[in-house]
Amino acid sequence: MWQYVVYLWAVPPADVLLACPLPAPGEAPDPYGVFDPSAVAAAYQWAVAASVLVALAAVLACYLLDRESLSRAFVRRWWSWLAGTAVAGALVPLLMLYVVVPQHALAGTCDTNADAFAATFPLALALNRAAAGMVWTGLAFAAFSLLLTRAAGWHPASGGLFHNRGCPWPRVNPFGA
Amino acid sequence: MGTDLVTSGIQQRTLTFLALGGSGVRSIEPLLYLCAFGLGPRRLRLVLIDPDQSNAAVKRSRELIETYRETRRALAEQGAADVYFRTEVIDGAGSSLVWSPITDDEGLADARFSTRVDRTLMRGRGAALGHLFDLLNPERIRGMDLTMGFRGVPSIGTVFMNRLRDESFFAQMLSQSQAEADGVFFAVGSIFGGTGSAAFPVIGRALADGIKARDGGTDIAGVPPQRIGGALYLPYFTLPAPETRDAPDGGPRPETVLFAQNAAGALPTYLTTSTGYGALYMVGDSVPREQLRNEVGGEKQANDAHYVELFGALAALDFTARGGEEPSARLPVVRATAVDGRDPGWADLPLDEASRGRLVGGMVAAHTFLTAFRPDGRAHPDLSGVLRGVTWAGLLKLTPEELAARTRALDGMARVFGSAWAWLAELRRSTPALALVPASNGRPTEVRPDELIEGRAAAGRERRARHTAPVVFRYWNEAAYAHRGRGFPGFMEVMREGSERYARAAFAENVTLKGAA
Repeated sequence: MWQYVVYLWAVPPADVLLACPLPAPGEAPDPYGVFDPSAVAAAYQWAVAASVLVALAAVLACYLLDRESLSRAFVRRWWSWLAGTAVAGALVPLLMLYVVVPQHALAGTCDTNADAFAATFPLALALNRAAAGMVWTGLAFAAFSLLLTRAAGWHPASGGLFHNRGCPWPRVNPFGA
Repeated sequence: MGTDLVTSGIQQRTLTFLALGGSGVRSIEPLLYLCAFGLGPRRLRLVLIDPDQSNAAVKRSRELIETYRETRRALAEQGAADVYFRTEVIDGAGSSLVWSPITDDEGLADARFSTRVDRTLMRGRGAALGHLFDLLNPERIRGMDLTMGFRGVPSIGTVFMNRLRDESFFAQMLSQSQAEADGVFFAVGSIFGGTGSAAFPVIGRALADGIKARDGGTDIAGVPPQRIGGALYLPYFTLPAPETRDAPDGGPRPETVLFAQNAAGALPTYLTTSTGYGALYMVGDSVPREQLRNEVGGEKQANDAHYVELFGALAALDFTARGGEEPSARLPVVRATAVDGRDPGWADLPLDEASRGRLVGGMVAAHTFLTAFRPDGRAHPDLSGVLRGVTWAGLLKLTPEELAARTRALDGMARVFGSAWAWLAELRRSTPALALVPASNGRPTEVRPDELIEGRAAAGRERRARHTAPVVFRYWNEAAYAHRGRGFPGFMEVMREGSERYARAAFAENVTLKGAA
């Protein structure tokens, strides 16, 4: 259950196959090795942490940078921020898997190269994680918005969270008055 | 030092305001707007004195008085009449609001001067009186239709003004003054025309004298002079050349060339003899404005508002705020306020900082109301939708549907605020102009909150953000935090407090006194 909350449908896969390097002349080929599951899990976990921060920062920026109080423009901006955050949420796992936590083979799983050599994570899996990240971050943005406007937004000192506490609820329709 | 209309005790006092003639009646409009913005006394008893009851100024004032009272009633029913519209407006002259000195008990349709003084009865033993009457009044004066006013001939008006002493409402007013120990009386009128010039000295004297007992009755004591004040309008307008020399009834027209002479002739009366007044405010303009038309009475005599009329209303409130003059003072005390420059503005208003803040805040509140609640005075197609989720409404526990359902109160406020906007636009367009609000630039929805108040010192020096009504709502939200759960009465408090907070933040230079006033 917890796994689904944290990762939605894209939990860190345990045995992701990779194509082993070609054998040296005269050696037997070994078509498949395995990505190091700890590196994969680390990238997934960092993606979750980064997504949380992105969603939180986006919520704070959306509310605190506003100089008005629950105008129609703000409700539309809130939806824009949500969409932007969701896109960022999709990019975060890609950034983690390909840049921040470079993936590599699990040492000894390829006969052709027993080292933990660098390997490119499968795009299909990465896109699956990106899709989950997009949904996850969008939901987190809405949840944080609701939570912060209800929790911190009761006091004027919370600035925009106080002044726009009616969004996302009950003012959620971007096409309304 | 400006007048303190917020903390001086004015909120507990009763002001009996006597509007004399067309100019005096025109001061009722700014007075009611000041009351609507919470700067008035607790009670305002109005007495309009004008023989020309169809005058456009009388009609306009009557309508506004009725709208104000209807609005206040609607707010009071909701327990929300303690902030804006705080002042209770009472008829001083009965339900007709206007007392006409030429009204006769016989209901004569003929309103000629000679008829109303029963010239035809001046025969036999009264023949000498008839001859004297004819000598003093040429034919064109004798035949004047008095329903068109006294038209710069105050000597006629004085004949009729003393009838006031016989009116039951006047006796009642004097009796009430005994119970209202700190209530004050204030008369406003011009001393260069007809009705005001005729009424001003008679009113002061009649109030101070009281009523002597008749037919075994008891005396009604007069009002102490220190509680009677007045604002004398010196010539502040001129009239364009008329199309015809005489009025439609063959009688005279008011003549501009005589205005200054009339005023100069009348002033010594007030300064050297006892006319009953404890304080006199001289109000005028060194550059009289030419009126748009030269009409003799009636609905066509509709001229734009003039800032002098606002200063007359402020004089009445100043006198009320003082609670009259000190009994020991040498009376009458004469007061004057200097206006700097050609077009007066905020710096010229004789108000202290708190009162100025309230007035600027009132303008912000009215503008916000006419932008968000009743756009340009019209019903909002989806007010509930606009207010859904707004912080101040949530804190007040006032649902948008509940607020929108207060139609009578909201419509009334829209009418009064809309009327104030139109009045400010007239003043802004006028020459000289009163530069308070750029109302002449368009309808309320066409003016942004940050450009609402004129004379911003920061213009060009400091970039101002472009504001909309939801920016003002931020200040309302902060005010609402202190009024949580107070519903509709709290809404009125929030509107005032929040708008004043915005005014202090956005227009500090207009709220803060710089010694100009």
